[in-house]
Amino acid sequence: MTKKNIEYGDGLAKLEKIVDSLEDNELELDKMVSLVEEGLELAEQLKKHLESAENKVQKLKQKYQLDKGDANEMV
Amino acid sequence: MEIPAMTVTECLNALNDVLYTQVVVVEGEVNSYNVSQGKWVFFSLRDEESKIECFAVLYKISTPLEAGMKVRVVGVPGIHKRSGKFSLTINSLELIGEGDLQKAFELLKNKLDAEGLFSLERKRSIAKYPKQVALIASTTSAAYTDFLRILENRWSGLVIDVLDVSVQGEKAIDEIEAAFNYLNESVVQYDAVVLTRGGGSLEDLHAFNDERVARAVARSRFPVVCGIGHERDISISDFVADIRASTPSNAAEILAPDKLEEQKKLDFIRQNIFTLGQQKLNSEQHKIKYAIKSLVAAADAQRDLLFALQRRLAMFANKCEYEIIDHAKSVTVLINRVARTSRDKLIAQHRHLLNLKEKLGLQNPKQILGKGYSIVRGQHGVIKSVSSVAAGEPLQIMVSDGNIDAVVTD
Repeated sequence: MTKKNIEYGDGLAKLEKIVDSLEDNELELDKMVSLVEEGLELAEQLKKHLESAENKVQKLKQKYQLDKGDANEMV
Repeated sequence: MEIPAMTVTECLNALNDVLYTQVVVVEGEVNSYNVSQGKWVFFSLRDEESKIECFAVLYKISTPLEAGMKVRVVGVPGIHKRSGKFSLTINSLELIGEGDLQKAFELLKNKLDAEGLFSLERKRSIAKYPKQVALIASTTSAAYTDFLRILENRWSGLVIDVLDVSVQGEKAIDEIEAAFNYLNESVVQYDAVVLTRGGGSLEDLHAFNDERVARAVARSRFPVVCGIGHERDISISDFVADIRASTPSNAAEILAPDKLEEQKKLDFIRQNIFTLGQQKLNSEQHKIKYAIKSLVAAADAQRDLLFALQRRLAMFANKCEYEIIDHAKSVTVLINRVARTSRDKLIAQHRHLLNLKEKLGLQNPKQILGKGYSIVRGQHGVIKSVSSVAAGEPLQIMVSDGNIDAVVTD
């Protein structure tokens, strides 16, 4: 997952998995440290994603009107 | 001038040629409504004086009708050749009687409900974080801009494919149905389809109470969020949709989570991760401290054990020392006893020897000879009897200081 094409839902699911892993008392210290780093970085990425990304509105007008014409012809 | 005769068919063809060019709009009351083979609709329109038969394909009359409803129809007149009956072929129909729209609404609602189109089992949920959605709306409507504005405020990174349709008037039903058909064929996997328009009268919202639109919603490959009209407006499409939103804005709220809430959630998760990390570190530190404490305690225990051993050894050594001293004393006593006994024995033996010596001294011939005794030896040894010698036998007489030779004389 790169910073550019991060999927919020997937990222959040991964983040929640990291938190679950961190709640495991048997976790080794080294693994814990890398998970904390990964989790904090991912949370930051997701937050930035929410701040910076915009919704993309694309009109299917042409393609749709063609179909709409077909539909009308059928009628 | 004689009018040429025609056959019946020629006559009807000629009349129909004229009639078919006439489009008429007629208002009247529905009577004898009947649907044949699920395809054809027959009814009559009447007023106080007259009646006209009407025919339509069911597809064009999606409004449920019942006797007594007032309608306005657009149709073409003609004479059915086989029966010779005059009728109107209806192209479109709208309800015009007061309360009839509501009545049609209830009829369709009951019909679709009976078919199970409103059942909860059919309802699908939408992804919590949708990525791509389709929006069926009029791009000139307030509903459209409201929906996108709320969505923009709430969420980011969403792709919205817009299908611009009429939401009112003649084309609305066809366009909305075609839009759903188009999406059903799409290669794109949408998380949801949003069908929306702003508020209006029952007449304005007619398309969304139409059976074809309702069935298009029901057939949708993707979950449908329906946001029609104001809070109080409920359309048939709302009932069929997977999720009913009260308004277009509400549709946006249902569709997308609030990014401010999500940011708060992310902050909470970050804090949680930090806290969990801290707790883990504290726990590890505690473990290390505990381990050190345990080691120290173990070392202390070993030291105590050593001390105890030392003490026991010292005690044992002391005990041994005492025992050795005791033994030494015993040995000394023994030695002393042995020595004393030996000495006494030696003295006794010495005395005994002296006695013996003394006694021996008494028996010594030489000592006896010293007292004046003498030993006489003949030829055959010591003479102890007179008879053991003969006259003339040489004798040797031993005295204390030497021998005297003699001869037996008698």
